[in-house]
Amino acid sequence: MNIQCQRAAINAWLLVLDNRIAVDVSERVHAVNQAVRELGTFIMETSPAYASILVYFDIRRVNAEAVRDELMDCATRVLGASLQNKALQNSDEVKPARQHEVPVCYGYGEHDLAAVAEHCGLSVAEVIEYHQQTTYRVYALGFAPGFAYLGELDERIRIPRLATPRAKVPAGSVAIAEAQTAIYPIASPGGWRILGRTPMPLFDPAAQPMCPLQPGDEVRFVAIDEQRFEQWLLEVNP
Amino acid sequence: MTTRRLRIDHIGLQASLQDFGRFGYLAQGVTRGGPLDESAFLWGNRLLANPPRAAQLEILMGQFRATFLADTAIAVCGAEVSVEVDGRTCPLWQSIAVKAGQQLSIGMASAGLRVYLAIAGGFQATAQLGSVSTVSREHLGGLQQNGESLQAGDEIDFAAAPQATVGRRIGWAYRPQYQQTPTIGLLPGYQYEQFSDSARALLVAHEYQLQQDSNRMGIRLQGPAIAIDQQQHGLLSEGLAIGALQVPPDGQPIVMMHDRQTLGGYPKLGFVNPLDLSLLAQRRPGQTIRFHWQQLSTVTQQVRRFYRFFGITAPY
Repeated sequence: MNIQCQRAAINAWLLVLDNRIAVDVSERVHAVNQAVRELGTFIMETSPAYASILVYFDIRRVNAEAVRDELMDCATRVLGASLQNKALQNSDEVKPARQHEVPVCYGYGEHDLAAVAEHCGLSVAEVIEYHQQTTYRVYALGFAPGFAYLGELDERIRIPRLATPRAKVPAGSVAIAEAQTAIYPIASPGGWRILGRTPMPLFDPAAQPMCPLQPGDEVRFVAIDEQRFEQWLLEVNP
Repeated sequence: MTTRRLRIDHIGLQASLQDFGRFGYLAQGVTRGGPLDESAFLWGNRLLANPPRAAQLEILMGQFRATFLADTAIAVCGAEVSVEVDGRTCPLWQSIAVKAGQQLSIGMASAGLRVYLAIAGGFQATAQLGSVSTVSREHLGGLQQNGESLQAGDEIDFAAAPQATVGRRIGWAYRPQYQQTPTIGLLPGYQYEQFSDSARALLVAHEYQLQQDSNRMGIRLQGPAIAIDQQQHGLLSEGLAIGALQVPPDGQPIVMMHDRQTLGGYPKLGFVNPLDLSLLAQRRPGQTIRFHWQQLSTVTQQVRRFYRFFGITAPY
């Protein structure tokens, strides 16, 4: 797919690199995002997603058209370099993915395990097993603070979102929708199917880092029982 | 030493602490927040010679009473309300001197929705991620740093400010009118090219009504449905800018406001002129608005002039 720039605000462009959810696309998004942030002080803020980057610029100092040309050049340069010599994989700048183990008490609180199992023609135990078998990649943070979009879910346990979202999904809920899985860092409305809950904090504005899961990281889910879950909660919030 | 504080005696629907917003954390999923009517907010700080980002109270529909525990100066801008200090009627859009022990009483809004109470030097609270702006969905900001709105009994510090000039006011010509249906500027953007000519024309040919569930995240509109192309259903979630005009599958547009989610997957026909978001923010559920298409070059000049006047970078 060709690189595109769409106007997103009077002082923002959406730089679209692709239209797929894939690891190679995600790697390119983050390489280009890094390069865009270094273009100059006229870049105010960027918000990378699966295959695109929202880029805010200082409209008082620069022309939108000039910024678009710089963004297109920048993306072309970074992608060209990575395609020609696969420099991305070999360079010292690219760190190996950080790994996280996220403990999950499956079936804790209100959940959709039975509905997922029925929809997929599986037992609840199989749903839980397949959810833990995959190593997920963090594709993007967004929607809510620290909400990590993780992919891709095993094809055997894919299910659409709820027709009517829940008014309140508790913090720590581990949920799935289509090819994705995620953890709700804070209580919020939500339409994803809940499988269980983690005691691990995923957003704390006072902590360093604020969000432990970052784009490019790898995540595995590990089942814990209710006793361990509650013990962990006490350790986290003494 | 006197306590430089405001004590809240009564709150009507809702009041929240807002500075200009939380910037720099979009990539972590943290939204901006800040005043929905930026124009009224920036005027309030200007009247008091405050820094443009100084924190104020955003009061929904008025009906607010508070007592000053120290001498200071205030300005009330935004929705049309009666303002009294110890029973003496005071004008809107003007800096007013107040004394320790006096009570401020703001009446019910007769037009518009959001009232901004600015105070000399700005309200003070512990910032989170560089801002005190209250974003309830994110449990961030506000007096308790948990995203909660203000309550009767709360006491809020304000800064020891240099003597603010009182009696400064804004000329009538610059004061917005909230009674009439506003015409809101629209600009082509995002997936504009994928919408049909008739979809683009429909949006500016009819009035749209604000739905009841409009809030600080988004203004939901109701009117003739905007048709979405089949191929637009599979859009990946992407960065959602304030002002973006989303079209969900039911064709009823939503204008994203300051507490919006940072990523979203609905197609977007364009975005609202950032200066017109202030007018949109003052419309009530059930009231109507009209759209018109504008030129990027015209709006760019307007936006530059506006933010240069207030001495601030265009927000992002």
